[in-house]
Amino acid sequence: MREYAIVSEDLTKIFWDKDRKIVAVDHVSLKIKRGEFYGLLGPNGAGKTTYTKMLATLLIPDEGEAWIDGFSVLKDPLEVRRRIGWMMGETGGRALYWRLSGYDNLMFFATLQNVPKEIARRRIDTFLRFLELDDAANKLVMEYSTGMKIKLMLIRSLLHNPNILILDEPTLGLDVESARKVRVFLRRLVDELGKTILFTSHNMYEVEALCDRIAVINRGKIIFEGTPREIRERVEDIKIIEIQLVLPNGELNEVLKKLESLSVVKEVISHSKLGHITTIRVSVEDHHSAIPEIAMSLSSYKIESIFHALPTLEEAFLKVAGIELEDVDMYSSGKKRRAMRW
Amino acid sequence: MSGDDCIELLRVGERPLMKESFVARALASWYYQLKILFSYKMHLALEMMDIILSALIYYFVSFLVSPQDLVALGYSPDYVAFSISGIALSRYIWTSVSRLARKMHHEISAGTFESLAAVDTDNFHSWLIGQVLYGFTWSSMWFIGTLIIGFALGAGFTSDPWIWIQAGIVVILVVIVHSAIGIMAAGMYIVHKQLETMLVLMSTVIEFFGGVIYPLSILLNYPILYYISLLMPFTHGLELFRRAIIDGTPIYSLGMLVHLSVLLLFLPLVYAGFKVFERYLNLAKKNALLSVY
Repeated sequence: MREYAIVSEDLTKIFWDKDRKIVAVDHVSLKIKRGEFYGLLGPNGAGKTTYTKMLATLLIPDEGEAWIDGFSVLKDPLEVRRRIGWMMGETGGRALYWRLSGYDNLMFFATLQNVPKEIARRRIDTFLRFLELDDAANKLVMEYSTGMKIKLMLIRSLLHNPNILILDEPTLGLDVESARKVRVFLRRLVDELGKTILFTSHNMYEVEALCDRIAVINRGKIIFEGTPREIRERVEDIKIIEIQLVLPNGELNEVLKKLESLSVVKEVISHSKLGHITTIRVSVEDHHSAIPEIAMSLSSYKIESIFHALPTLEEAFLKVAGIELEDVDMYSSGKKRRAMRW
Repeated sequence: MSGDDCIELLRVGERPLMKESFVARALASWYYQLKILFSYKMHLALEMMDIILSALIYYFVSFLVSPQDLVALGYSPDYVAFSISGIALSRYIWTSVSRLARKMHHEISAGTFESLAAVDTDNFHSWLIGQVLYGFTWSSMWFIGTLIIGFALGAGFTSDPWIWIQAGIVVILVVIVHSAIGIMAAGMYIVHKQLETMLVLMSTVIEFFGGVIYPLSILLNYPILYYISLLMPFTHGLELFRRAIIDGTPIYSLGMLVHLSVLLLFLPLVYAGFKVFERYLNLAKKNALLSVY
């Protein structure tokens, strides 16, 4: 047990909506090693937040047990809370006192977490400077933007220097540069200080870049556990062709129709536009025969490139989770995309 | 800035657990709540007006009350002192009994309660005590303001500092006992919600039976009500407080010891208050109610 920072065995949480039973987390067993960056992935309502709240002792499980740093969440919840830093990023900053300044919020929580005043001051000042909140430190939180509040919540989770961090969507709502900065910093916490991070996210790029191992949860059950590489390998049989082409305005639907009508194309997975280049990804049975046929059918357009592509982690995740892309709010892109059925 | 400083700071500061201070946590809960209060400037101004108007109401009512009637009922003839002492102390009741549940409603709806629960290392004991201290501080402003206005309106309070110290002890006992009820109510609020109206009613009932603005001996004509009133800790607290600051009677004198003893009998409620709160907190965690309002 000592080699693991977080262990859960058959952890289960059931909610009741009148007479309807909802199994939010269904016998989830996970073992997260010390010094590991662990990602928990899943669509909205999959059970990620419920699971992390049970670990943070904010919810009492109906079945099963979990241990944080060797302490039971059921028998020693106070010890568990002393050892974790918990952050829920989805709240839009609701979890802060809006009529206190950012600095006061941090100092208040640092005191509740038993951090001596001098140490708290040094940490708060340094973290505020790092996340560029030092100029706004004495402003009331009600004047903060969403991104600023999220940064504040992240700092709050670190003030008592816990060895285990449970971070629920910590970069959601941050601008691109701040999100990058936070990602690099979190990785350094693991690599240089040996912290353990359990991290939930919708952002596949983030998960791929940061996590040593991931688990995919859907409808309360763990349906995959392994490295980001292993999840990709699970879907190696998926053949994807990526086409990059320059399209005149209003021609996209025409092109999509053409592709869907081809017998070699199983499905149009996604399309996006960056600058003047439109990228379309399609799944096929056999990429050797499909590439020339697709190229032929689109010969009237200016094709920049057409090649056999690997599935993205996002596509792999969706296949493993057995869900359709249109069911998922893809926060990474900020908008819904076409359905992808496997 | 690259984050090197943050990493170094956490590396240097690495220690398994820091020395915990219950007092520091309670004081933080008190201090930052006061800071929040002082950010509502208009609220404070309105409170001041409320203090002045409440005192003035009973000043004018005093013209209708005959001093002889008061003497006949066993009190000194000064109705202004009688009523001002009653309403000053009753403010503590409202705060002690119902403010914590309101606070809980605010914390849950603002989303901060989960944050507190995530860092709680003593089953909320220090936080609750900080909140009780805050309620005490806030009510004391009201209490002192009311008494000062009473003085200004000619209320005949004792000038003996030793008696005032004893009156202060009575106030603290009244606050402790009624805060225990408030802590229980706050726990119940996390699970049952919508308790506020009931708590306002409860405060009014306590004040009614305590005889805030009328002598308790009036209730002798309604024996059931009178005996119910004797079961209320506030009745005894107010009797001690009034006799002390109006008549200058020490709280350890023979007639007062009965009231003091009854008040002390309610002290174990404090332990029960914390236990009930913990029970409801766990129930809320079981039923996912920490962020539901």
